[in-house]
Amino acid sequence: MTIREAAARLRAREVSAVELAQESLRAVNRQQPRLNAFITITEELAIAQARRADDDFARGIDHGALQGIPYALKDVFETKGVRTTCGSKIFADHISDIDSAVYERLTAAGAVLMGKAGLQEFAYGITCNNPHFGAIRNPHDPERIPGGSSGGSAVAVASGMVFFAMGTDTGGSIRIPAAFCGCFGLKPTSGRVSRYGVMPLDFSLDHMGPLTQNAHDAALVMNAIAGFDARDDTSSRRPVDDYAPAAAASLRGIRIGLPENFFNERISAEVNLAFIKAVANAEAAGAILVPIQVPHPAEINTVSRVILLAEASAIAEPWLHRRADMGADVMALFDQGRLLSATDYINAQRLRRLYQREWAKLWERVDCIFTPTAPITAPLIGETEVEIEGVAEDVRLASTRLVRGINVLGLPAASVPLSSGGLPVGLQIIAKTFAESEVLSISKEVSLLQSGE
Amino acid sequence: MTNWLELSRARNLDIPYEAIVRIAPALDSLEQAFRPLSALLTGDIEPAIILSEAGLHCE
Repeated sequence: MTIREAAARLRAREVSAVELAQESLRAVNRQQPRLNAFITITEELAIAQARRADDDFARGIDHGALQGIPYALKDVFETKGVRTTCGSKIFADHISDIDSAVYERLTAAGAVLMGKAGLQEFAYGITCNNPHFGAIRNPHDPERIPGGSSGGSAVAVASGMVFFAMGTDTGGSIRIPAAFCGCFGLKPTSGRVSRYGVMPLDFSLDHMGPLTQNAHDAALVMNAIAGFDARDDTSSRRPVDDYAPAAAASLRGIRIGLPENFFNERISAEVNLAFIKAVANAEAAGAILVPIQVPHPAEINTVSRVILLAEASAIAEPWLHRRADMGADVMALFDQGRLLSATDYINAQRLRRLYQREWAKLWERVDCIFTPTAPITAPLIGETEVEIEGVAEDVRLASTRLVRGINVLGLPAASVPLSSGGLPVGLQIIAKTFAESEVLSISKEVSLLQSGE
Repeated sequence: MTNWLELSRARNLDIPYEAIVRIAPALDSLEQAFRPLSALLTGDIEPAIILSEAGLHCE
């Protein structure tokens, strides 16, 4: 059941919010031992919030599509009175005295929090093999990683525990788990969703966004969470769209950029096949395919690594002496960041400006860009290298190769689940800044074409 | 190539020798990819850093 369907059933009094919450809790408790999607399950809070939603329905108060809908927050969104661990032993007992802006807005919209979803330690990586809270497992094959860092969020949605979950994306952390787990994920434009009250991995690359079953549900979540927040210095004052994709939207005349460099290199056969099929479907539906050369994609990834390493280490500086309390993988990344120079960091931010300008020119020729989200399907837990077209590649670098640069550019990007016949595959749709409506509308059409509607 | 061990010691960072050995190849490869890029920068390109209104009016 999607958010839209559940919202209709709630308003038809076919089900109550408390019943939906109880059903969700049963699904969480049944699957948690196998998948480990949650760090904290907020059973009492969920029932209290569901009762409030039912009371509001009874009094004729309707806060919108999310009222009474069960969801999960990645365990970096601070919640007053409920611990926020950041997936770290250091914050294992951290209870904030503030609510994150996203949680405030979702609470005001009447959504029902089922718990705090698991993640990579400090949201810094893509395996979700967390040394302190255990490995999070892919619902399509529990021996495989869910992707990360928002792995618990993707698992909770893909396994039907909740209707939606919030994630964060610094270098693909919403889109990669969405692709590996077979759900929809949206990284909005920088500044579109407030970062206030979210434990940061990075200053200038972090983005907050939803993971859902489909694009329409993501639009409903965006309608609740997007908008200016004075407490976040990077928050945009630009007016917010109604994101719900138009019922009559179509791909006819949409100019889809298809990269002829980088984004089509070293893609696994399984991913490539699903990608080619989705592109062919779009063309058959009237989209115009435009071959493009994408400017400096490998260089943008390099710049992304310099910025992330430096900023993440600056943020984590107060805890870096507690080496024994951190996993080896994360500690290695923090150590790397401490050894970079200030000059390199500033020059990376200057290159970022240069590349942002060059990418802006692309939008004169195309409305969006299609690429695979990840060149591979979900690797096995513990797998450190994958072989693509005979070349061995580090699992972390392969998984982030096609997504991390988009954070440097600040552009909106979604991962749309594609049918492959095997493990899930994701299609990445990138557009110009603040074009979330277009991304969601195109995503919806791509999904409909797959299901033959 | 940068001597990461010496750099760590000079900055008085408490990074153990074994950790430096582990991360040195990744740092070498990043440095190799990044140096040629920064060499192309001209003086008119400013960093992509946002100065917020709130920050500008701080007392």
